[in-house]
Amino acid sequence: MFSDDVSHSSASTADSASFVSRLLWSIALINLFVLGLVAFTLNQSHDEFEERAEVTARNLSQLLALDIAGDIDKIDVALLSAADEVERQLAVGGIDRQALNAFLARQQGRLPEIFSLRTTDANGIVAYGLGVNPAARQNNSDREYFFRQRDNPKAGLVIAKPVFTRLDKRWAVPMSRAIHLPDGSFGGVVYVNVSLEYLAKTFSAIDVGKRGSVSLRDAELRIFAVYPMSPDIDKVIGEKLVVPELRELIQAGSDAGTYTTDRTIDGVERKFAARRVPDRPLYVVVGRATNEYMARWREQAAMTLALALLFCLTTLISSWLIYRGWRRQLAATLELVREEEKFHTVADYTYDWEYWEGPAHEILFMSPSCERVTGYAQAEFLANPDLLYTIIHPDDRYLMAAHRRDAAHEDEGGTDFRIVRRDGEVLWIAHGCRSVFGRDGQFMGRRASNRDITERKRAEEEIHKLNADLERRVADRTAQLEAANKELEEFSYSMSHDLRTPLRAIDGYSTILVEEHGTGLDDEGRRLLNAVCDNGRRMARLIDDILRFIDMGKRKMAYGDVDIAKLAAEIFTELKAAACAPEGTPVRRLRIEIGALPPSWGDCDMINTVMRNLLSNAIKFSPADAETLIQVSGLTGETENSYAITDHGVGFDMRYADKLFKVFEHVHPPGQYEGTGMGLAIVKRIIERHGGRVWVEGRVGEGASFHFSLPHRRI
Amino acid sequence: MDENVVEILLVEDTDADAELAIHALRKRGLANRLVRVKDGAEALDFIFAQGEYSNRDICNRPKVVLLDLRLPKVSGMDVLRRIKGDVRTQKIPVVVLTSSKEGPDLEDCYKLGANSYISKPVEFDDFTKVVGELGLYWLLVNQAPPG
Repeated sequence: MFSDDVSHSSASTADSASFVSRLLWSIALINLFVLGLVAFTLNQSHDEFEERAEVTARNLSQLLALDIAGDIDKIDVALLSAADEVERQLAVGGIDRQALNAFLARQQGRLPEIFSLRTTDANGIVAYGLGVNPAARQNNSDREYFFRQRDNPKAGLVIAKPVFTRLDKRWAVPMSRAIHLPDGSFGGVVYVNVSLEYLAKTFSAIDVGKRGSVSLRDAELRIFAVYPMSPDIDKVIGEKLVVPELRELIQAGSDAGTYTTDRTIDGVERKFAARRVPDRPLYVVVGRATNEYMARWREQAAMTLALALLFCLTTLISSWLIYRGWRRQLAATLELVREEEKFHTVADYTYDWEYWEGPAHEILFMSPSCERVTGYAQAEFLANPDLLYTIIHPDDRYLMAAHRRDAAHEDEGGTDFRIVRRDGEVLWIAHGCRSVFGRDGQFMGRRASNRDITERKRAEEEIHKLNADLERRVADRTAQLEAANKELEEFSYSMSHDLRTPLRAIDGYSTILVEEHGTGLDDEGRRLLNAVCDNGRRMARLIDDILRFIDMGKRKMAYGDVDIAKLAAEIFTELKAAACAPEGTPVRRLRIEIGALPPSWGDCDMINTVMRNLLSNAIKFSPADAETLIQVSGLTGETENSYAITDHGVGFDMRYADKLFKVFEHVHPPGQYEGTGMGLAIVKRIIERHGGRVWVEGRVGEGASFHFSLPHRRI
Repeated sequence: MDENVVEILLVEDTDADAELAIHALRKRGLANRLVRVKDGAEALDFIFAQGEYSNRDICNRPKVVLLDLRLPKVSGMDVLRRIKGDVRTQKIPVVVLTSSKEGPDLEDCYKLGANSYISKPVEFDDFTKVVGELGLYWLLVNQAPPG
């Protein structure tokens, strides 16, 4: 059983470990899967966001490129028409200053992007245009837009790097077209200053986000315009602040491309889309701040991750709850298993033969000990419920039948019967059973215990036999005793009759002899005859005493309160009278002192005999010639009261104290004191029949003290 | 002696006792009309005038029966029972003679209707006195009823 227990607990530990590991693995897998899914989704959406940002940047850059191309075309048209106008006027005789200035002013007015439309001569001196003072002879020959036109007759439209204009004191991107003299030689340039603010405004019209950037660069990647405007724009404009990615892109000859970098002016990481303005050596670079366009993705990611974490947390909590629940269930199950095992142990290891019989007399439980008692195995009983009744000894089946009838209306009951074991041995069985009731009170059969009481029965039978034997022997003995008693009674009766008859004859004939033939006898003859009579009478008294002694031993006792003091006084008076009665005897001086005596309980007649014998003894053994004092005293004891009759007579030798109370024993030689020697034996017999004791104290010549005790009254 | 005029029937088996009793009665002059029988059967024969005494008239009842209890053949107790159990004889006074005052017999005797008893003392003087007085008493005081 203990090893079973151990294996159970280790099994449960193993169960627990495997359950926990399985639980943890599945939780981990689920979470891993979910996290993987989240990572995949986030990655996907990240890419999507990136792509969308890139597409947007590309679109914006294209839009801007087209827009700028349109503006440039427009400006180029104005430049070309102004150059045409100058060349036409030169061809027809010379410049009409007023008309040209008005023309230029008109053209300038049509283009809000520009704030000046002017011309220079072949030496770079600003000649015409709105607000031009020819007398100032402003020389712009050092300007890029001028010398590039002068140095390269095929320069076409020149877009120079931005400059801070001398006349207008503003940042501008100058653009120029060459003016050809009628002979085809260089005759100066027409130029415009495109407002950087205007460009910036154009840039701001597209939404690149708060931290986005737009820049316009020339073929050498110098910055022409940038949005947002940097406060220290002076340091930026015209500079070749360029990242390798852009450079590689331009050098590769691409018209468009994208890249991401954080090496920007303001250090913000952006995704850039660069596009070449169609037909112009200009590049529009639109940058969108990664932080910005990924902000929503980050939000989403954060949300998703939060949800994923929540999920993980939830799964962990749920798994913990599941584990806890499982543990509880496991504990409960184990407890149940233990309980069941316990009850099984209790049920299976019974020494007696135990079973539970269902309402339809089917066997619901049969203890394995049935085999020990009956020789039939548990399975045999389960297979055949009738076996319970067929193994009962045929002579005792009626007992079981009667018991089953009684059991129908009794909750508890039992009977003893014999069974015949499989090996034929007959056993005595003590059968006890009680009804079983379910929770809601329905009858569920009888639960029975059968105990092998063969040994006990045998012992009982033995005892029974012994008892019967003993009783028979007691009866025999009693009968014998009764017969002996009866014999004794008859004997004593016969004795009293038959022994007395010859005595009577002796006495009678002697008397007749004396009375009727006395005259023929001398004195000696008469003395001898008297001696014959005396001895006859002595023998008669002896017979009487023996009869009394026998009678005291067997007569029925009549208990009652006995006043010993009163008895003593009465008897003393009688004895005193008798002692003095015969004429001629000297008057004896007899005195009695009766002390305070405790009450006594006994047979009054018998106690009377006791007192009579003791008092007469006391008188007898006191000297006749002196005053005789007899004292009667008493003592209350714990269990008995004692009484003493004390005389001051001849006393006796204590060595012979034992002999005093024996039948026929004499302490004094016969003839010295009158008596049969039976008196004290009768006293002893009476006191002993009362359950008391007798004892004596005395010394030769100093008197004797006879004591007797009587037990207290038993209630 | 005419058996029909018997006044005292002494039923006593012991010769010595019988003799002493007769002696005692004689001293009082009461032994003249006395018959002594030796056992219970003879006593019944006498009283009921049967057997040896069949020529006797049953109506001549003795004036007193002195009956010893210990008798051969039929016990004194049975004799007493027969006498007191028969209407013809039940009025005869019966004085029981006993050896001792002890013993269960005495009470039974009274129950059976004994009229008196004499304990036979060893001292002959006492015996003489008692037997004489009782015999006289029953003979003189208890005269046989008329008829």
